[in-house]
Amino acid sequence: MSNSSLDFIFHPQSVAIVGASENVAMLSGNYVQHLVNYGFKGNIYPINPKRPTIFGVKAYPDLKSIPGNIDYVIDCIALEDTPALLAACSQKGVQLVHVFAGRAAETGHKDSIELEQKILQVARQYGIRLIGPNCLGIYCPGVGLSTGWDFPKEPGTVGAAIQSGGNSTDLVRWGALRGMRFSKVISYGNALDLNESDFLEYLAGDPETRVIMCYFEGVKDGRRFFDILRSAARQKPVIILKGGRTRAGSKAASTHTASLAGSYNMWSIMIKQAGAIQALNFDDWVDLGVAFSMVSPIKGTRVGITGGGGGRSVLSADECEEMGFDVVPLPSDIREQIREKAPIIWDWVGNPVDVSIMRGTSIGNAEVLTMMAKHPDFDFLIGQITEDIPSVPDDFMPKVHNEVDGYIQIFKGGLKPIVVVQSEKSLGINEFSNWRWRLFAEARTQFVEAKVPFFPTIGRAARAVKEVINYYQRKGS
Amino acid sequence: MLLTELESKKLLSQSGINVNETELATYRDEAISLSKRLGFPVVLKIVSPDIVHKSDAGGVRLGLNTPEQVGEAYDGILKAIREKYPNARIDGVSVQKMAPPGVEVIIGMYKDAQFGPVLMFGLGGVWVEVLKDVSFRIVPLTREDAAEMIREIKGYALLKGFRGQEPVDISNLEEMMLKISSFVEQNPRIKEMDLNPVFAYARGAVAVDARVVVEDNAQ
Repeated sequence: MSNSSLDFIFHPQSVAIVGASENVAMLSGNYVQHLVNYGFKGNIYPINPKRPTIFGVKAYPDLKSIPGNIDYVIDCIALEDTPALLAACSQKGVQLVHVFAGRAAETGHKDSIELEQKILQVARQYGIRLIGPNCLGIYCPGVGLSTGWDFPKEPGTVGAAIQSGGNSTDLVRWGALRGMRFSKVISYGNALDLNESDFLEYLAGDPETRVIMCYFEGVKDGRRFFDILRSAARQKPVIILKGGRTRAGSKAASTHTASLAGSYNMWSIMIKQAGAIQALNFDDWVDLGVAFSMVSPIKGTRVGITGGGGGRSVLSADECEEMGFDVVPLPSDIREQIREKAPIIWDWVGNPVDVSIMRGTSIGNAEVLTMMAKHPDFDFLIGQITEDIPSVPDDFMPKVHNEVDGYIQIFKGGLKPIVVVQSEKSLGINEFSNWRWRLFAEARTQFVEAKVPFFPTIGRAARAVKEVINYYQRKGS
Repeated sequence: MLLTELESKKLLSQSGINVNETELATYRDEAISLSKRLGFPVVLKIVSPDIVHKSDAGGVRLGLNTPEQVGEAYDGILKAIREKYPNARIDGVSVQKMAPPGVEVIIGMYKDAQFGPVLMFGLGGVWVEVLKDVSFRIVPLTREDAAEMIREIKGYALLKGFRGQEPVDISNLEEMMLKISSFVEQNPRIKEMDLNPVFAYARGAVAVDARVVVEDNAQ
């Protein structure tokens, strides 16, 4: 199967929703609304024998009452009724059916497994491709397909193939909060027909996708997945979160090799060998998505850091050095530039820049980081938002505004890759009436709007950036 | 089914993988004449499909320098095995030229349920069990994979030349692993394999012991 052979999935001219309802408490009821809300340009056909319209869209009692052919059917009825539905689909030229229903083979029940197999057999017989069962289907904002109410309408460059519906929702939501935007996100569930390898292969060849993210617990064909992953990773970054820790190895081993293999995670070895990037957990996965889709390629490890007082500066340097970065001393020509504006500190200010010693001078973090951006001694920059200075609003707010504006300017200037560190707190609703927390919330919003990549801690920023550096070094070698 | 050292080496050797020349002797004088042909010093090892740990059973004699020592070792091995494993089937005794010592590494293979054949590289000999300093990659290996596997182990420093020792021929080891990778690809019935130890030298490398397990015919 060639890469582009799945392109039809993402460009339907018409979509029918079987089992459509106006009951928004049912997930299945939402698809019509999504198509309307997200501006789907083709024909929308809700199927419901009891209602004339669904969310204001003319409804049909069944597929055969629809005039003309249908490309894509979202099947929200019970699994048992799916074989008969597929027969009806074959009369209307349907190419693709998304089977929403769960409680299929994942239950482990014999009759459910047999029902799945029957559905597959019928689909093959009619030449219909399947997504699912047990999944949310396709979010493709560019054409107006969505699986959530509150996902961004604006398309982006991250493509994702995700076994779990919940994890696909989480990725889009959490990613969107960090400024990520998506080309295509497929929640494919039990992968009865189309599976992770098919979608990965497609996304690898998809010109709208620059970064690929995958979540799965298992794959249908390990060998095929490895071969496709290896070729995909040569084309673009592939970030994988593997759920379920598994151990390989043979219990009755008669060689050292087989017995030692039992203590290694062959998934990690496979992901590394293929040249893909393995996420450690969900947060790390999102961090890596942000880093690969929003940070420009970083070629070296020399970093310039601002933000925070003395203690935070020391900890920041520690975290960066532990990640293998080179926290280079502040170059003497930058010192000379600082001397003019801040003669009190010019000879002892360092990298990371300690913001607390700049008090009373006419210089701030943004100015120093801008000097670093122009200086050849740095490969990339980390701009932290200063939070640890005990100060009153009149003094503190302009400092933070200066940092936010300055970091955004550096990002837009494009001289050096920059990541911002803006910490996340578990704020209660009352905290937003406090100027300090509102100030940081506003800063965060500004970064998202300007598409500046930001991370909740410098440790997480450093870990994600490290993978970006590794990736481009591997690619360059 | 576990192949004997002799069968294993023959199979590997046919695929261009460097093993030290090993012959089967089925009687005392044959062991002596083989030793003379191969050149001293030699090593004698029991050949039996029933014996997995040859040296523990007293089935291995190293550094034999004369025809007399070879004859005595031949008798000694058979005596020890018959005492310890009276029911073992015995094919004979293998005679091989004792390879000069090198850095001992292991190259192995095993079949993963998800990904199929996987190769292992690590420090070999007795160190395998103690240090477990190994790396894995899925077959087929690229040159890069082989290079990474070697560089990934902690014991890489030993291969690069430790305390004035000459560094071992890394590119030859890579070559050997690539050959083993294609050997494994071409022989899907192989289930597990240890080449241990492989002596890595400043020039070249040689497998001095090998154990190949093939899938039973039932499969």
